[in-house]
Amino acid sequence: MNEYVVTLKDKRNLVRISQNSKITINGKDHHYELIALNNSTYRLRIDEKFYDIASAKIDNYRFSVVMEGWTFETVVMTTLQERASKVIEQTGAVLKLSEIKAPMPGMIFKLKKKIGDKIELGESVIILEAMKMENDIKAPSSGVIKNVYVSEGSAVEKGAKLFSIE
Amino acid sequence: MLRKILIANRGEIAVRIIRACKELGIKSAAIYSEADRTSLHTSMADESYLIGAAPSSESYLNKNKIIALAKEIKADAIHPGYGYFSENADFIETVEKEGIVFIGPSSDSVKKMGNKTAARQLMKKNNVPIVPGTTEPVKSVEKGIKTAKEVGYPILLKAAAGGGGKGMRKISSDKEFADAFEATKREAMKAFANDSIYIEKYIENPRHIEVQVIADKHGNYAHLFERECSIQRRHQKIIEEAPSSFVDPETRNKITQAGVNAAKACNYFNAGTIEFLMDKNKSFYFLEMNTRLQVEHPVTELISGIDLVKEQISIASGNRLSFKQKDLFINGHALESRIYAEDAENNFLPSTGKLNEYEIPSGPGIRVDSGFSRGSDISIYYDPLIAKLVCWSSTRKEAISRMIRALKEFRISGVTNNIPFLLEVFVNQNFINGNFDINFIEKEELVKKFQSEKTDEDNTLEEIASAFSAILKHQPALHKHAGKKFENSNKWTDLEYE
Repeated sequence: MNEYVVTLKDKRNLVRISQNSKITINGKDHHYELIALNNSTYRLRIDEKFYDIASAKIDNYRFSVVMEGWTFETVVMTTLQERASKVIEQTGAVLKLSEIKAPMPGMIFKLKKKIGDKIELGESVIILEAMKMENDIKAPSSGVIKNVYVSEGSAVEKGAKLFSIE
Repeated sequence: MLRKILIANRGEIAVRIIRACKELGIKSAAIYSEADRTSLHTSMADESYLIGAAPSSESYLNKNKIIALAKEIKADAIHPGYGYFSENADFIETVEKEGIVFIGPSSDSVKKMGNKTAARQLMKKNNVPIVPGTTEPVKSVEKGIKTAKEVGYPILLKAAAGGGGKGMRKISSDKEFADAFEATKREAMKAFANDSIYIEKYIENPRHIEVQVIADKHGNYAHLFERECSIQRRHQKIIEEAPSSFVDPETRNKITQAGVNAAKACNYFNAGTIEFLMDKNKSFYFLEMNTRLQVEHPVTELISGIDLVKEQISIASGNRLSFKQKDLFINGHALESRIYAEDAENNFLPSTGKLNEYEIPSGPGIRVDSGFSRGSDISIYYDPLIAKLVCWSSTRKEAISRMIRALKEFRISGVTNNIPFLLEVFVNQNFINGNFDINFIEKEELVKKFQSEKTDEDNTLEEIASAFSAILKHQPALHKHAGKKFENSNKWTDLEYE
C-alpha cells in the first residue's frame, strides 16, 4: 500500500514510496528526505534539491501545497482507492439536475430569473457582488430554472447553492 | 510639527503611513473595523480604535464617527491614504472646518479635479491635451447614444467621480449602450456615492503614463518623473514601473511639464498624480488627476530617493518642499507587483480566508508593503490587495530578474493569490523588450497561456508537489512531529493510516 495516484490540475502523477528513503515519481527514481518545520511548513529534499513548502490538509484526500509562488491543490489516493472511486463514478446515477453554487462569498445583488424561466447556456442568472465588483453568474447549460435558493440582498458563503437547472 | 495623526484607512497603505509617523516621531492612531482585528495596521499603530462593523459604509466610510474620534483623541491631523475619503471634498471641508489638518490637497483643488468632467473642462482651458469626449455628464441613454455616434465607437463610459479603474465600461455599439449605462451608474453609485457618468473616446492601444507631482503651500511645484502602469487586467493596474521604458528625455520634459501645469491649474498642494494616455507616436492625453497618494507611489520613491509620505506630512505642517527640482534625477529602475487574493486559474475570482503561512521575500533591492501578517484574515469586504512587492535595480533588465527571484520567494498559504500569473508577465519577451500597451494581457492571451501552457519547470514543480502530498498521506504522523526528520526506514511507516 505505498503506491499513490496524485491528481493535480487534471494530471495524474504516480508516486511510489519505498524503503530507505526511495521515491519513484512517474517512473523515475529519487532519494528523498522530509523535515517538518512546524505544523504547516516542511522542507522536502528530492535528490540534491531542497524545497520549502507550506501545506494544509483540506480533508482526507486533498492537500493544498504552496511552493515557489504557486498554490497547488492535490488529490491523493492509493491506487486501490482510485480504482474504487472510479467504479462508484461509473455506476452512480447520472444527475440530470445541475445545481449552481456560489464561486465565492458575497451578496446576491440581483436575481435576473425566477423559477420556471427558460434559460440559454451562458445567460446571466444572478449578479453576485463581492469585493465591490459585480460578478455575473451564468447558466452552465440550457434548460428551465427548477429552484432558486437565495433572495436578493442575502449574503452567501462560498459553495452555497444558488439555483438549479433542469 | 504635528503630534498625532489619525489614519482614516486600512491595509497596506495604513501600515505605510504608520511607518512614516514612527520615523518622524509622530503618534499614529489607527481605526479598524470588526473584520480587521487581525490586520497589521491594527496592531502596528500606537493607538487603535474600533470604528464599526465590517462593511466599509459602516466603518471606513463613516465620516461623522471618524471626525468625532479625531477630536476626541486630540489628533491634529488626518491622513486619508488612497480610496475612501482621500478625494472626498465634502469630508476634507468638514475636517478643515473642525480645525484639523488634512494631509492632502485643499477641498477646493479636489473639487476642481474630483469631478472628471469639470477637470476635463479645466485642462482644456489650460492647454493640457484631453481625450475626445464629453465635458458634461451624460443625462440619458438617448443623449448618450447620440454623443457616442459623434465621437465614434468604441467609447468608454466612465464614472465622473471615479478612478482606479472602477465604474468604467467599453461600448462598441448602440445596442450595448442601455445595459452598460445602467450598470456603470450602479457601480459608480456604490463605489463613489455619485452616479453621474461621461463619455470618452476609446483610444486604441495606448500606454498608461502618469506624472508624480508634489507642491507645498508656498507655491513651489515639482515633479518626480513619470511612472508607467500599462500592465492592467480589466482596467486594474497589476504591474507598475518607473521610469517608463517608452518615454525618451524629450517626451519626459513635455509630459512632466504638462503635469506641473495641471497641478498649477487647480492651485494644488501635497502629492498628486496626473494620468495620461500615450499613443504610439508619443502624443499624450490627460486622463485624470488623482489628488492623493497613489498605490504605486513606492516605485517613484525608489528611483527619486524622496519619501512621499513624509514629504506629505511635512507639507501639511506648512513646510516648504525639502528639495529643489534641479536636485532630482532618476536613479535606476523600479518595478511593483500587486499581490492580489484572487485565483488566476479560476477566472480571477477573489479568494478569502486566513493567511496560514505568510513569508515575504527579502534580500538586495526588495521592498514589501503589506497589510497583513501570518494569521491575518482576508475578508470579502475590501479590496483584495494583500501586498505590493517592489524591486529596485540599476537597470530595468536587472529589476525584472530581481522581481522574478522575489516573487518565487513569497510564500502565502490559506488564500489563493496571483503570483503565478505575475510571473507569466515578467518572463514574457514582449514585456522584457518594452513592447506593450494597456491591452498587453489580452493581446498576448496571457490568461489563456497561463492556464494551458506548461514549462518544464512547471511540470517539475507539479511532480514535486505531488510527491510531497503522497509522502504526507503516507506518513500522517508528520503533522504531529514538527522539527523531526523523517527517513522512510521504519517498517511501521509502511502501514496505512486512515
